Amino acid sequence: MKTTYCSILLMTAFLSLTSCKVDGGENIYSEVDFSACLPDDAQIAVLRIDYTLAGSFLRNINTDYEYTLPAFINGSCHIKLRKGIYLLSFDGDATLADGTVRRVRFAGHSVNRDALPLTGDHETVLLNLAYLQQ
Amino acid sequence: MRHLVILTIMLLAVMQAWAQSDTVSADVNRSTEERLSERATLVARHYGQITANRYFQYGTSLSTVSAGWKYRYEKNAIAVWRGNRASTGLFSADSYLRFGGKSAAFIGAEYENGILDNVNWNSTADYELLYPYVLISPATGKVHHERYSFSGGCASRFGRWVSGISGSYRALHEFQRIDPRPRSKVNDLKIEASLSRMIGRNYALGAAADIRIYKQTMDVSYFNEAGAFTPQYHYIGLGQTFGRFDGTTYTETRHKGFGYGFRMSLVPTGSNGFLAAFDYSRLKMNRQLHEINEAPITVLWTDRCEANLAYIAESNAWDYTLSLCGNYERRQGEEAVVDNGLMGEFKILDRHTMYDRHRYCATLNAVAEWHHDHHCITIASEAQVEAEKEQYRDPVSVISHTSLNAGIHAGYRRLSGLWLFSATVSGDYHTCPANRFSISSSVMQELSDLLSYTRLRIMDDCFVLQPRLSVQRRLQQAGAIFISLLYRQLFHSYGVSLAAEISLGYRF
Repeated sequence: MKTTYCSILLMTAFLSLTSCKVDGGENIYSEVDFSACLPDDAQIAVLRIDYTLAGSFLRNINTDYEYTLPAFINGSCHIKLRKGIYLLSFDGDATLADGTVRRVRFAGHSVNRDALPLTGDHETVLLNLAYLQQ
Repeated sequence: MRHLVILTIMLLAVMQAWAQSDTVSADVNRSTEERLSERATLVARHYGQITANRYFQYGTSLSTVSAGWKYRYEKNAIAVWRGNRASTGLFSADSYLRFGGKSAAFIGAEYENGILDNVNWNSTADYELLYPYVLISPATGKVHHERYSFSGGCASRFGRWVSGISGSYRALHEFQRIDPRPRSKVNDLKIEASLSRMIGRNYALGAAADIRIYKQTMDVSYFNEAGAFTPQYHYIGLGQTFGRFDGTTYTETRHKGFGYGFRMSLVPTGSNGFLAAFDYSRLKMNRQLHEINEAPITVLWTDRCEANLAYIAESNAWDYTLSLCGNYERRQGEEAVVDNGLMGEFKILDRHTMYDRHRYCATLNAVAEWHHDHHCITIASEAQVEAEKEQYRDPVSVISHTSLNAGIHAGYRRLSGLWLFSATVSGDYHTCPANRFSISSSVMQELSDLLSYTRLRIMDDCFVLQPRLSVQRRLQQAGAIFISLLYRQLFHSYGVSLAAEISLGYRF
């Protein structure tokens, strides 16, 4: 009979322990590299996004949380984001390799239909910019 | 539903008559005293955990039918989601029936109808069960609620073995009559099977397993289209919301849950001995939005463990009970990454565990009862330590606190002829010596204010005074009427908080 009690006790303990949901340190972040290129393939030295405009945003569409992209140096930047689906749209000032400053726009992921999925641990995104008339 | 309540009462009466024909009828006042003493209330939890063990709980049958009224008023709400005023009418019937020496049965039914006033930041029923995945709104409203619950079970003895089966069902309906109008319907079913074996002469060891099925459907209506501007937020904890679905469109929500539990319990078959119990349960709760193809946007996992150890001793003049109880609860919340819904499918691309809450609680109770002739004096004390830590992973927010409660309780009971008289008074002191409050700056201001307010209420030192009076008069050998009154007042820095209950009924 002692064996029966021990079995019941062990079974209960086993089921209790094995059924606990363990957060196995899952990675909720994605390391994202953004690269920007211009229509004429001109080299970008620095690109600063104009966040004073309502149309400049990097937004997680599920949480509505907004992030600020750092300046693009030599045409690229790096940011750590929570994995998710994002909207990205901005106007900015690009300083080219020859020193000229041009107003540029990116609106490739500005609506839900074109939302950008960033769900991997590492992601690389190419942004095709357009020149704006100054 | 009302028909079911009536049916339950009729069934209860029939079973009672059947039970009385099969057992030695006991004095109703003595049976009541056996159940309502401080000691009995404390150990009832141990027996109640496993249906098969309830066979050993009482030696006599007793049924109670009662009607009552509960009132609560807080000048400033302690928990804004429950409102600051509540008035509830209650009807209940429950019965513990012994059928000879071979089996026992239990049946109960309750109907509750009431109003919660000034409910704020809550559009969902069963807020505490579903937290943090609830629908909230800054609107303040009057919530009408109606609850039905039924429970029943039986335990049968076969030699040294006792088998038990029980089930319970709860239906809840909550709604508001002024825009915004949340309406929630809850169905909650639990079924348990258990087995117990007598060990030696004095103990029984039982094991039980149960399953739970939960469903809540809710929606928010706006009858005045021009006034449909009060947003509903899909709360995800510590001031964060599932922003994509906030507003007035995605309000039709389903909460679907499935749970299971295991427990073991050792109880004495007599009136002296040790009680020990271990209980584990888990509940998985999906929150689905109807407007996006029932996609489950969040999943809440609630794991609970409880361990109890108690000792009861009974002598001619003195009865002692010492009980130690430890509880642990963990809530983990997963949020879905919902795709852009381009084809109206709303696929779930990934899930992340974002919310985590740990809650620990340890309670020590000691009860001493002195009997002399028909008098009984009770002194009881309670000490409790509770710690809670709630965190959200991104943006990082942490709230934690440790609280202490200490209480003392004194009671006098007299059984005299036809009368059973009971008066008790208890005083409890609550303090919160340690806390941490770190909320992300991205939290919207009104939710940040709500969290701060709730925080201050938890930290506020509080003294609770609670007198209770109960009088019962036997009308015949197996029947008695009773009245019970309770008043509770909280003394703290947020103005008046009080509660009162009155209950009238018949025991047989």
